[in-house]
Amino acid sequence: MYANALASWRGHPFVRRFSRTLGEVMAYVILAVGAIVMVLPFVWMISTSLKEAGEVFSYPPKLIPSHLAFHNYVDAWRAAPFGRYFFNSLFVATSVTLGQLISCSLAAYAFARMNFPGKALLFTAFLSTLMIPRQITLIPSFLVLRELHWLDTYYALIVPFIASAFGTFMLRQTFMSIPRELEDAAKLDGCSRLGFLWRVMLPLSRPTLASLALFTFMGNWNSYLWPLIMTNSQKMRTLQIGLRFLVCQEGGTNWGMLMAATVVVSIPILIFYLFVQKQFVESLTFTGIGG
Amino acid sequence: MFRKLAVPLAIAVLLAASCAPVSTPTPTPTGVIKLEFWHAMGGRNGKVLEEMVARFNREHPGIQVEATFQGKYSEIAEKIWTAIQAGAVPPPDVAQIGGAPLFGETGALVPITEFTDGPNGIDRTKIYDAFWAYNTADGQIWSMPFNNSMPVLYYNKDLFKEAGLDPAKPPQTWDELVEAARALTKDADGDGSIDQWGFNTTSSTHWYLSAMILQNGGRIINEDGTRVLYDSPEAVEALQFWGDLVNKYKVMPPAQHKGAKSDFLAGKLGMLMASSASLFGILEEAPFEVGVAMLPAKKARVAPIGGASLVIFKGEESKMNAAWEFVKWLTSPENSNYWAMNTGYIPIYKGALQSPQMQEFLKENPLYKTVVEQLEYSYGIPVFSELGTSDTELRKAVEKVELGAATPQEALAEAAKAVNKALGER
Amino acid sequence: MLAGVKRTVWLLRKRYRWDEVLSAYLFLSPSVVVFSLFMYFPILYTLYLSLHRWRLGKMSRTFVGLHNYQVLITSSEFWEVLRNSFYYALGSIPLNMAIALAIALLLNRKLRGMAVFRTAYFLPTITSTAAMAVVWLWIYHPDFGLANWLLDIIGLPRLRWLSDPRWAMPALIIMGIWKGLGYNIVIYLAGLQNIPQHLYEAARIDGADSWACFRYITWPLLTPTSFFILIIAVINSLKAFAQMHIMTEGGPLNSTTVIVYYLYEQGFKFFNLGCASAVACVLFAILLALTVIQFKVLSPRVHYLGG
Repeated sequence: MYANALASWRGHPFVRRFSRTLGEVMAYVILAVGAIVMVLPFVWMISTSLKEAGEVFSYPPKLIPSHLAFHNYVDAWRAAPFGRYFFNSLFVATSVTLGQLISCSLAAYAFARMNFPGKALLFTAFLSTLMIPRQITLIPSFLVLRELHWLDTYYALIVPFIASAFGTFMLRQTFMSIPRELEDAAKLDGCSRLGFLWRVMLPLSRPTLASLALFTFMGNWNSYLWPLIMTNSQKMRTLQIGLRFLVCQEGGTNWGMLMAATVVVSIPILIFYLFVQKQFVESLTFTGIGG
Repeated sequence: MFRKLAVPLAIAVLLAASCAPVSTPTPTPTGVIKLEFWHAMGGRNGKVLEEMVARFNREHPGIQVEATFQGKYSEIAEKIWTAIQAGAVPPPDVAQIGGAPLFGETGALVPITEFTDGPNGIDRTKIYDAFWAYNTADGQIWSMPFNNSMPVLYYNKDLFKEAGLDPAKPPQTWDELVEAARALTKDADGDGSIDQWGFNTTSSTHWYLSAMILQNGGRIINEDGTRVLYDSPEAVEALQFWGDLVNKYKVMPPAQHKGAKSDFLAGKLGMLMASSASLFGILEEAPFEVGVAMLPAKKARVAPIGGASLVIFKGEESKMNAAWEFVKWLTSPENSNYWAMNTGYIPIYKGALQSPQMQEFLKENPLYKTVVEQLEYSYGIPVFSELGTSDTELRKAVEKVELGAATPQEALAEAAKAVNKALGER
Repeated sequence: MLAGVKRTVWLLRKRYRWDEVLSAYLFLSPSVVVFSLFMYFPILYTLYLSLHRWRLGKMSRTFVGLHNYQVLITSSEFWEVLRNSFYYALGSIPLNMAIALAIALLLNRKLRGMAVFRTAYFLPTITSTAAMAVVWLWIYHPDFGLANWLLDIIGLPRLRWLSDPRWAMPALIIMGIWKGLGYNIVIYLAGLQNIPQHLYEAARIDGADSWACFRYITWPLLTPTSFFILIIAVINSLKAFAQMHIMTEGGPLNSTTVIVYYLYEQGFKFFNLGCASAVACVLFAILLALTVIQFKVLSPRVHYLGG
């Protein structure tokens, strides 16, 4: 009896609308509180980039600098050949991203939809590449690159990262969620495997591909140690190294300029993210059978 | 949308790739020797170095030096080490490395004495002994002193005045340090927790502890570099004093060294023990009046050196000689002073204080005078093979004492034992 | 014996379609080649190194067999390191996944301003490590940091956070969650996007409420994504290094020394490459074991729409 009463109370239009609005408000509040914490360091970054040296560590911390030091940005840009570094970073990150999207799609498709001897073993072998900390691979990789005469070239920065177990795994999960009937139907239409991958699987996996592209681009854009060790000359330098050049070894750091440079270096990623974000917003129309 | 973009994007990247200049060697006019110089100087110091290198290149048309920033000392060391490992001659001809003598063992370096004592050499006695000691390993001097620093005591003159202390008279002894620190430690808003501390050090606690050990008459390592000596009573006393600052007098916060410099700049710390190399940075960033003092003394006044040196790698004779020309130029008395004045590193020549350029400079930067005066008391702890282990063990010992997890005796005994064991295994 | 071989070949022929096998190997080849050079070779090299005693600076290596491993297993320090690592992992994984899922669900609605929020939650991943370090050092400052200020307001006693061996690790866990949340939210969002809308519509028509929708549609269809996130999270949390390096240098009193930090210390501070290599191999073995276990136990419970 109570259950009925509760159900009918719940079903009342006014109650429904109220609880939905309440739900929305709650959602906003929670998200807002969380967002503040998330955003705080980034805000500090921007705020500091516009501060004069004497104000950076003032306490209590000032959010808005008393005097906007835009020259920090100019100084930062002038401090190192950022133009060339920018090109290098962009070229390498884009190549790696494309390379990974291709190799991971192929590999994921094999793991998700094909049957072959050694499948489980190979998948485990793929995953095992995630279990090695980067520090350990530095010296042996250096030896390999040296043998190939790839040191101080773009190859050293791109080729080792063209494959990714992370990306393969992520795409495999998505591919496995796509109904088999689609594939069977395509085969009946005489579609080749690659064709199916390209025309059906990939478009259906857009959100995953987009996030993979974002992570790969970002990871590569931010990498510092690898380019540092594997390249020597100025012309092969990437943005992150140029950024590090702005920080003094023992002496004082010009925080204003450093943060300005950091903000500038972060902008391409932000742009990439906003571009990729749209993939999530577009609702996926499910072209398939049934429903 | 992805599909539509993919193809043009791929084409764009391929085009960019084909247009991207591959590293083409710049054509060298015949007879000019090209040298590669790897350094770890970034920021303002990096600019000064590059400017000096450019000047060298102008004055020496037959030798052209290309200087590239290669990361921190540890990163340069890793690159060079990896190259040596791979059996390759390390690419640079000259490099700036911290703990340079350690590379002597690899056989890739030419001892600097080959050059300093050779026909084109310099008078070694003109440079403070401490610097040569710092560049010695196994009785052999491997590297050329270049950018060095010492710990100094920075203090906040405004806070001094507030506390009733004379800003022109910073503490000169350990006891005076405690007194001053006590006056500077305050709980301003009375909520039971301290808002302003009297004294703290930056993270290189091993360096400052070494200073105190030396000041108390102790030693760090024995003559032939086979045993560390910081389990001696003098060393234990020094660490005891350090621990007392935290636990007895309560003028230093425990285990809070990472943020010490920011605290100082924020006006929340009265005195900061830090590297002399931070001088210009601190002056720029502090909104208050800064004072610089020598390290307070105990039985003696001692300031250990830190920093990096220049090394020359084995290679063609002409290249090595050219490399020495460069190193000699960079570390000449005028250039050494110029470098010091523009970066805050210390000049290496005796009598640097008296030179006219320095006198001029000191008129505008009186705080720097203290740094140069402390040179008289400089001491070079010889670089030994387990330096990395030793530094880490000392830091851990300090941490244990600060947090009350061990007595100074126990902490240092453990540290010494660990390092001696590692030394023994070599 | 020939009969046995013949039978195997016949079985293989029956189980596999060879054009499919060929395609599969072809598709896998680029990855395999790259991995061999830059992953498998390094592992083998590391394994080889771990059987030697070798210090940076010395040119010769001495073969010591399993000595390094013996030293590790008998060192109480190493067990402490393992404990710290698992403490970190167990502290961060459940919270990270739960919060990421909750936020992703909230962000998946078509409410106004969601794009702004989504960007806000992703910002930590874009923030530079330097900026992150400075701000978090301030947040955790024992005397005037944000964290203690919050504790004051709630009325709880102040903590020394990064200077306290008991609280340094929780502090880093919070920081780790903060940094990694953005990634997981993005992945969950992608996973949510893959769930066909018509299922929800059908359910609503049948009178299902939000909780039922979540329980019977969202969660089961998110299991592939959750499984992925879990595997990756276990691996990444046991590989954690950056915060320990920047914020605490493994202290205070080794309380935040995790496996990879210990590896770094041994290899790049003590120059004890043989030992560092052994640590890497031990870590590898642990991660491999954990991953295999997770697959065996959890894989059957993952619902793939594809069947």
